[in-house]
Amino acid sequence: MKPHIGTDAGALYGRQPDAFAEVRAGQGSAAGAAVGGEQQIVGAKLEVLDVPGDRIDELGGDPEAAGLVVLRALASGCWPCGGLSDRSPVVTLPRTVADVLSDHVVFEVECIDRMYLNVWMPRLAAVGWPGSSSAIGATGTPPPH
Amino acid sequence: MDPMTKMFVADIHHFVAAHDLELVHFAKGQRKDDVTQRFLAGFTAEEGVLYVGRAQEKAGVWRTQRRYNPATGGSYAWLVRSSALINHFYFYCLDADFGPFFIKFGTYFPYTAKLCVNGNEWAKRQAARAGIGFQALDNGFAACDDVDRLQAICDTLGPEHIDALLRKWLKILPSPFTGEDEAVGYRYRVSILQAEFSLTQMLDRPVAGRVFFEQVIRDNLDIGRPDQVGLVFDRRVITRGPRRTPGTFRTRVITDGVTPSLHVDYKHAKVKQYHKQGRALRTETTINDTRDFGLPKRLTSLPPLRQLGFTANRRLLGVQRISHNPVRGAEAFTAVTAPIVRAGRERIPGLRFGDPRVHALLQALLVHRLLPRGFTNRELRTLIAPLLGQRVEDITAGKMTYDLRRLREHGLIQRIPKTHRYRVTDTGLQHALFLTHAHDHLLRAGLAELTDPDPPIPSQLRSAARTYQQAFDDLTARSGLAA
Repeated sequence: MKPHIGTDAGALYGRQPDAFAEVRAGQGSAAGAAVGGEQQIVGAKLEVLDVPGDRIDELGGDPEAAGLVVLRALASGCWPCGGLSDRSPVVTLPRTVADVLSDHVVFEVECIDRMYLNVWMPRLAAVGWPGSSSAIGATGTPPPH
Repeated sequence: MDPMTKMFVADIHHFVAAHDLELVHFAKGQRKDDVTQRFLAGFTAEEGVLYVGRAQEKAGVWRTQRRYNPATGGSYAWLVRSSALINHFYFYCLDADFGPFFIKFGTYFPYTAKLCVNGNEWAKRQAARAGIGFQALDNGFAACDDVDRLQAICDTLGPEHIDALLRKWLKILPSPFTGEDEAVGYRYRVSILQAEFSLTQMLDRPVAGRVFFEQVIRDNLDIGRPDQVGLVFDRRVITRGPRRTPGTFRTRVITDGVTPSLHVDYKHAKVKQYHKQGRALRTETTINDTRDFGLPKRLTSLPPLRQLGFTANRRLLGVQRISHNPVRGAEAFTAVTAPIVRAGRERIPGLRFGDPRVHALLQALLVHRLLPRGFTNRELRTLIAPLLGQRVEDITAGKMTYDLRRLREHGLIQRIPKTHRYRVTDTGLQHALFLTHAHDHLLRAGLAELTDPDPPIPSQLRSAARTYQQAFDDLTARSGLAA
């Protein structure tokens, strides 16, 4: 099946399908499989996508590879940009906040902030009776007679 | 002890009168910081007492009990620990080294006091003395000429500085204990009730910092789980059995006004993270009980506590994961939607999200991307008119020129050299596709599902919204009954 531009798309562009570079025969079936035979992009129906010549250059120069890149991209809902290497699958793994933050920190300072301190009298901190030798007394001090 | 208490309170009143100070009676719930800021604003000396405050607060006290000897039947006085609502006197002061701080005395035996200092304020004063230029950010730093020297200063704050501050001001302020008491061993000692260790990271893009932090919150709502907390504090957390680690393991997002903060607990310690004054990411570890980490409470535990606190801050940032860098997204969105202002005069309007004309332009870009020779003003006009429900002749060339300029200056299209044709850039295609999808398929479709009184098919979003509304109404009704 030779790829061609759908009539709706052709009308929308106001151009003839041959204004676009042809993609090798054989990719049409791949296109059909990849995009379910019809891909809708904002009202323009493309039965199978043709890849313009200059876009093939941008996508690495190999029409077949470029076609596949375009098809993959269409299947995922976007148009490819840049060279082939840019379109390789990107697996986004969560990174640590510290890693991402390092690109955006102008400077950082570590400092002791607020300190709330107890100011107490050690010699007045035990249970007991007032007359013991340790001023107030200590736990277990025997009661006076 | 009554004479001692009366003498101490009388000394405080004499001190207030002698120094012409204001005695503020704090009302319940009154923010003492706000009062202090008012006095601080009018204080011109390098150091001194700003004012004295009085408040009734609960405190641990000693009370005497009459007890009897079981053998002889004779009575004797016995001191027992108790709590009571007693008067406290706050001395809000400004110190040349520490800046603002307060010390408050309980007016009941054994006259325990509390001292509150801020290490960042101390660092500010030391930096100024060392001739380091800086710009303050609340109790931190927004900018600094020499960050390494500033950090070196911050690293030197130790127990000896705090102890010296206390000794200095105990000599200045009224004290329940005399010099003779001190000579025979009645000397105050300092222990740590609460210590905060902060890491302030100043961000390069203030507004994006908030977006970044909100994404951090969204991606780390499980950070308070025991396994994560164990990593943050580098402690083994036991969740079962008789030796389970005490405390509640949870992640709290507390929003004060519009500022959210993330809170994680470990025993009595907490790590808090928030976007400080719209400019910095602040991570603070607060240790409320040094024994949680096997350290005594005395002030000499400060160096190992410091190590623990700062390590916990770093570990939190190392444990928290983020699925993407939202700063990039925020920048890209702003780059398209915000106006561009050049040389303070030339203003190129932004492509506002939600504006029908902007979305018509974006849709047109998606079509024009496929044209190898680009497109002209007229071709764009032909495409835009039906999208806006207008006739082609109603859209003038001037209007299109205005739109073409907007698109070009925002990097969505570029002019093909030596022609009057334009070409959609890679950025233009990416933005147009995504914004169109978001607007048409997400927002418009979602809002239709929510607002349609008679939807043609059941909608999960609509069901969820109605369930939420029902739950909210139930809660409101219950609250009304309870009231």
